[in-house]
Amino acid sequence: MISALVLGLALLLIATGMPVAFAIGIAGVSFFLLPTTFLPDETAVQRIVAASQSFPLLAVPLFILLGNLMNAAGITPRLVGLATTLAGWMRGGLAQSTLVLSALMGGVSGSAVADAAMQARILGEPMVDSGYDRGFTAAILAIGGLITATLPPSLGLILYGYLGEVSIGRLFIAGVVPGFLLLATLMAATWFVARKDGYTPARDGLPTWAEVWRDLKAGVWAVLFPIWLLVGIRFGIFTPSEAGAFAVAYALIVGFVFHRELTVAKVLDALTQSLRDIGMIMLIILFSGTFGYVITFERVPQSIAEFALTAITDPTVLLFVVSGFLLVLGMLVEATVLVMLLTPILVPVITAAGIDPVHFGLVMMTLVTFGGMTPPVGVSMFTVCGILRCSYRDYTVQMLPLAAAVLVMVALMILFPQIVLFLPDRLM
Amino acid sequence: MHFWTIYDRIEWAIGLLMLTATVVTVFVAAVGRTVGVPVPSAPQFAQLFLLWTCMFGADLAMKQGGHIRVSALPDLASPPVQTALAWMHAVLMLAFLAFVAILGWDLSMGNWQRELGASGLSYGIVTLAVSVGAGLLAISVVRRLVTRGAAGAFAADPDVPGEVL
Repeated sequence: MISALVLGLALLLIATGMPVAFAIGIAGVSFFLLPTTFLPDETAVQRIVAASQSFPLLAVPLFILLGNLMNAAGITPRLVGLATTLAGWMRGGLAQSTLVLSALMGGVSGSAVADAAMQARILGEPMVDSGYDRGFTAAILAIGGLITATLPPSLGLILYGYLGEVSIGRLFIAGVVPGFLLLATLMAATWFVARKDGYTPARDGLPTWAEVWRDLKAGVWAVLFPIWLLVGIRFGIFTPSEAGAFAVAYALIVGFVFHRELTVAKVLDALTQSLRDIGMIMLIILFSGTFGYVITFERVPQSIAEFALTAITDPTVLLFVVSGFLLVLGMLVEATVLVMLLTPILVPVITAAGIDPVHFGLVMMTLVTFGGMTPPVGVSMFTVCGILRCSYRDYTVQMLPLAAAVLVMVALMILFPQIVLFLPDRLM
Repeated sequence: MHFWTIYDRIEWAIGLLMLTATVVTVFVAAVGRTVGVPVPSAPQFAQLFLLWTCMFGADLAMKQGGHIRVSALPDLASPPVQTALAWMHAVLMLAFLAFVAILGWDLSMGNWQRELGASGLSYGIVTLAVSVGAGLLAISVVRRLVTRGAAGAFAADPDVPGEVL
């Protein structure tokens, strides 16, 4: 009962527009101030400190910094050439190339918003100039970010793994197959749109091996990165947090020595941007230390699990019902907020129902990240439409075929868990 | 130079230093473990620097209105309602930050002798970050209220995405 009040207070403060970190912190502390609570008030602050004292959590700041450094190191323009060579010959060649670019960027960056913003700045206007509809350009650049966020390293999966106590290494490896399938379904949807709206290829004929080799060499450091990352984690050479530190060193060497594009000023910029992003995400994690303690203390996940599992006994049906909720919530609420609030509650529930938390993690992260690309509230949509000066209405109409492709992909992931679990079960 | 310009620069420099220290200590821990000479104190230093990084980063985000909020509902409300809500939020947030700063200080002073594992670090230095961070955040909340007015205090500045994932 008390936990319902605490949860209700948090939701009320969030819905009225208070910064989420504070809404969660205030709700958590309010529990300690109740006359019925016999825990000392200091425990509230102790929980905030305790939330930060975790080595796996260090993966979050390190991979945020990595993404910003890689962008500053001149990775994106080098990969544009490779992506256009690989996919430019298809119908709607430029649009297909942006999807391939998202997949290539997926190996070095874990953020859908960052990927969409970067691509919108570099490729948005050139696509519109070549005859692409402004709304469609915005939609494909925003939704392409979903591929980036699914392929390892994925910031969302790091957060999910930390909060739900699920192996981040397994989650990373589980993201590989869904990431590439997402690329394939989005490319198929783009092919249909291109045929309907008469978008042409960006180049004549298939690329030659020599051309692929030439562009691959230019982007080799970015293409190699996810491979050594996964191999290193798989063979236990480093943990995800340690991989983050190696990766930052790698980005610095590539940027300064091989690409010669990184400058001290750019590094300071990347550090500053990362410091802000880290503060934003981590303050929610820290302040939810108190909140999470209350939720666990009051056995909320267990109560929800008992309730849900008496109502729905079939795991697939349960997954579809939970996914429906996540899809609707994702359209209204930022992905970070949903991950922070729901992961600790949902993971025990779905584990009790016999669902692999790695499987659920991929389904959940795909849906809540996708929510950022849909109206009425979507940070990726706002960012890309802002850069391209495109109306939300045009964006929404043009994104429908792409959104359908994403939802078909999620339904397949739910119906066939092996799509997600095949690789981690084989490898880890 | 203006007082707040110097204040912001110093804070920014410490924040960057803490972030750099976090990366370096994790790197030392990782290299040490990989080559078979583990440095047991490095992970503890990394977590100490991480907490300080988080608090300075959180304050930087606060100064830019970058903290994630769900603004769909309040955006539909009339301007006077929006202002009233923002004032209510500001008062609650300042009370909360004062609570965290004061109890964090007590906790820090009470645990100064307590050592953290292999590093010999004082648990008090770790806890102090939360207290100092809450104080910095409270100052920034007041500054935003003064410079932006209540309604714009927690809204993101241009070019601040308000989301990372």
